[in-house]
Amino acid sequence: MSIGAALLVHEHLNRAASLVRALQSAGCKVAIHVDAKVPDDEYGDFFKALNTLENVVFAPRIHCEWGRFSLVEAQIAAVKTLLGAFVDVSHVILLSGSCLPNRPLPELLAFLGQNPNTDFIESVAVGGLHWIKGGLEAERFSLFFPLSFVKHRRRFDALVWLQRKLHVRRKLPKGLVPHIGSQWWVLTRATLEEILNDPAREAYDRFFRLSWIPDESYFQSLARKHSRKIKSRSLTYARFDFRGKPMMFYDDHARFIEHLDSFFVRKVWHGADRLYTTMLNAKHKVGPRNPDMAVAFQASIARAESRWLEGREGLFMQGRAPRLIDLTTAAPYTVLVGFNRVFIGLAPWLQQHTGIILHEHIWAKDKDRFAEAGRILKRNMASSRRIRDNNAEGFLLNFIWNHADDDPIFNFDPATSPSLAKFISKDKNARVYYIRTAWVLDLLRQGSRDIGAVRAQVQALVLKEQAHLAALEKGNARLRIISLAEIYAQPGALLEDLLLTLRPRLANDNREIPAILPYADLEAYINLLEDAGVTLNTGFNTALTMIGNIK
Amino acid sequence: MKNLARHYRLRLLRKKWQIRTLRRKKDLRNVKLGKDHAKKGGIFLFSTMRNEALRLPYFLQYYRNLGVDQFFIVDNGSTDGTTELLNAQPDVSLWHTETSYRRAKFGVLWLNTLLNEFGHQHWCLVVDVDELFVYPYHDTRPMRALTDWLAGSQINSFAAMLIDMYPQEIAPYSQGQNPLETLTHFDAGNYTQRRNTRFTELWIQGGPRQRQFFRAQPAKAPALNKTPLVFWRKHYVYISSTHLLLPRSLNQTYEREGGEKICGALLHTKFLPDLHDRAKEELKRGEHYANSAEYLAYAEKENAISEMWGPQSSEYVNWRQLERLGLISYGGWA
Repeated sequence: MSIGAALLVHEHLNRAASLVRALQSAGCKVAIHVDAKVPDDEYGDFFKALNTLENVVFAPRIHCEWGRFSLVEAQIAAVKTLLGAFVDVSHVILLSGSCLPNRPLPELLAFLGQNPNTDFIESVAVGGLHWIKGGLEAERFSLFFPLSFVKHRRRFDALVWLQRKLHVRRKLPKGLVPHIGSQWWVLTRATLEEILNDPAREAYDRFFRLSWIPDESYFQSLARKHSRKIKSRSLTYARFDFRGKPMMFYDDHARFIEHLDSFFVRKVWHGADRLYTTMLNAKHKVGPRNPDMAVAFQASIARAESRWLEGREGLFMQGRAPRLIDLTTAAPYTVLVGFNRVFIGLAPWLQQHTGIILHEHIWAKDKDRFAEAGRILKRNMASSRRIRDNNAEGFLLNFIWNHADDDPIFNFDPATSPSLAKFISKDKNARVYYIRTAWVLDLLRQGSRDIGAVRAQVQALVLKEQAHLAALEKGNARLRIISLAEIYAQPGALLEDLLLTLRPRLANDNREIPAILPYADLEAYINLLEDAGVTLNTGFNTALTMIGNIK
Repeated sequence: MKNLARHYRLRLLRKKWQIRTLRRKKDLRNVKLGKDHAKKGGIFLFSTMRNEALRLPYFLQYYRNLGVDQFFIVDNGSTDGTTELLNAQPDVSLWHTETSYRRAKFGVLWLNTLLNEFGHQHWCLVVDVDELFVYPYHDTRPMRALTDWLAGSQINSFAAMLIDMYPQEIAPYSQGQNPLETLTHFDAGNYTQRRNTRFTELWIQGGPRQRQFFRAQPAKAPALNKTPLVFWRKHYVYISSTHLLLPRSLNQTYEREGGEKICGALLHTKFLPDLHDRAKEELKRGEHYANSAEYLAYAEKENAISEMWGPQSSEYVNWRQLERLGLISYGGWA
């Protein structure tokens, strides 16, 4: 027995030639089909160089078109030539000019020697698992495809559309159950001869001539009819990306390639010098396959694919510019509104208990405060206030992206940057703790007793706050509103809640809490305001009993 | 209707730039054509330069390594030996001009001329001498692998943002040396971008130049978005350095549905120790963009370069680092 290779060559003839030489010197018989599209002079050189080799024959050339029956005809031509020229060929492996062995060829020969009567052809019944990426499936057989997809794209699409509208369903020839699978197979001589000599073959050919991508279904379906023993797997590793384009192998895949669970890989980039020299070198030694490496390889491919399809969330860069409406940040973060007014020394307290840095002043309007806050920001991102305000959303995106692993948390006053407040309220990663009417404490600290002046100010602040809260409640951000009354009733509760959200496994012990302004001062001031007719939503009025408790 | 009007306005604008380009064609005098200047399927590099003898040897070596087949260079009156150096290279096609760089829209019109004459149906890379092109896998795969993959993915233009490289400590640089040996650091996370609707490009700003020289007027900081690699066709034009192209679909080098399109970077080696003297000379000529405002800063500040580095600066390792940082992406290329 010996192994025959039916080789389909379309381009890069020099690479195909070195593959032929390697196959031939490993003891394989080779039949080469060169696409009739290849210019004659190029073919002439190729032919001259290989024709003199023993055990190498050339099949009649056919003009091949992607997705059409001419590819099957080319396969048949190569197989017939091969079986005719070499009577001792027991297995035929179908290869393309851009395949490379990923294991030494003798391993394949030994493997096939151990499985003398098995056909290795991926062959999946249509309508079952989704084998196909980015294309038609069952319709490949139920519709008519008389046009070239490459040359007449529009008419092709129109025809498919029309046939769908008309509910066209082709009749299958008798005895044919459509199967689909990778076009790269290994079949035994017995199976191939039965397929080629099938009395109904003419009907099958007529059927496949008008079906779509028949090179992935012709032998796959007919082998099901004639084979005695099918292993539904391909011995050639070929992967398609989500657009249906074949994956390419490059020199830097060398360390993975020998571990793949196959004997050949496809497609190898024509410029991958290192792969071509090592994998075609008969003396190249490889160790046993390491499944972990194969898994790592698959993972790297999956990662690349997800980069293009999904991208990294929260990243806004030259290759990824989601619509503003879809724009989100990279990681969950916490926004504290009003905390800087209520608590004194919250940042050191938080750092002491959780190690998390509270960025107090990154949105400060004050230059020096911002500079101070910016010093601890990563990656040179906080150099000036003007740069920050030049593109505040961009600054926030960068801030979260750069600090994604650090539990980003910052103080924020919606009144100072309304557009950013809007962005945050829409962002699903935002967790907003909002102390309502905390600005009263600012007024109190200012000590302003001139009610006439304060009244207008207060009313403006109340309206602004209502607008912010309305936006926040509508948006995707998680929101917790806390009233001043709640804080004064149980100052520790809010902070404990914050701590446990940031560090869920933190031990529950009696922590001291940062200082807050004495309640009596606040109450007196609120009373003053209310007596002057300014009503505030502090929660005190509705929770009289609670206030009673404080006293 | 609105779309149609816009379409035609843009078309007229493109025509206008084509006419401008034609009018500047007479500026260029061909000195020599390299052997492979019409190589079928070749990857071509286009550049315009003046007095770049310091960076040129490494530049040529770097791009030859990546697999550039031919350099098309406009020499704008060099006096430091650049001309002689270029003349001695077999793979350089050389043009000479003494006319105004500024009038040629900062060289863009000269490059358009050459691109249209030689670049049609080729992958063309347009870079300055102080830009080193990096793309995913550039250390293991030549540019031909990238362009083959782009072509197979129906991508015609490739974005590579400018990343300013600067030294931690200023060290002398000698001709032929890899500039990244001294320019070791860069800013990793302070770039912001806006999408402009007129030409659909992303306008990227940030980096050390914005934070050092434009902190008072950040909106005026130099644009860092570039589209240097294009499968060129005769009717294309660059209209503002390599930041902008027409037809505008070429500017859309990004995904809008959440995914990442493949993109690379141009490592900017401008900040070598020659900057200060260069800046002074360029100021005298007044041939640069925005009235040479940028050069003013470099010329005024002796220590402009040494102030760029800070403890938050990142040391450059390789393209994978840029990828992890989110500055570039390998898109779907495995």
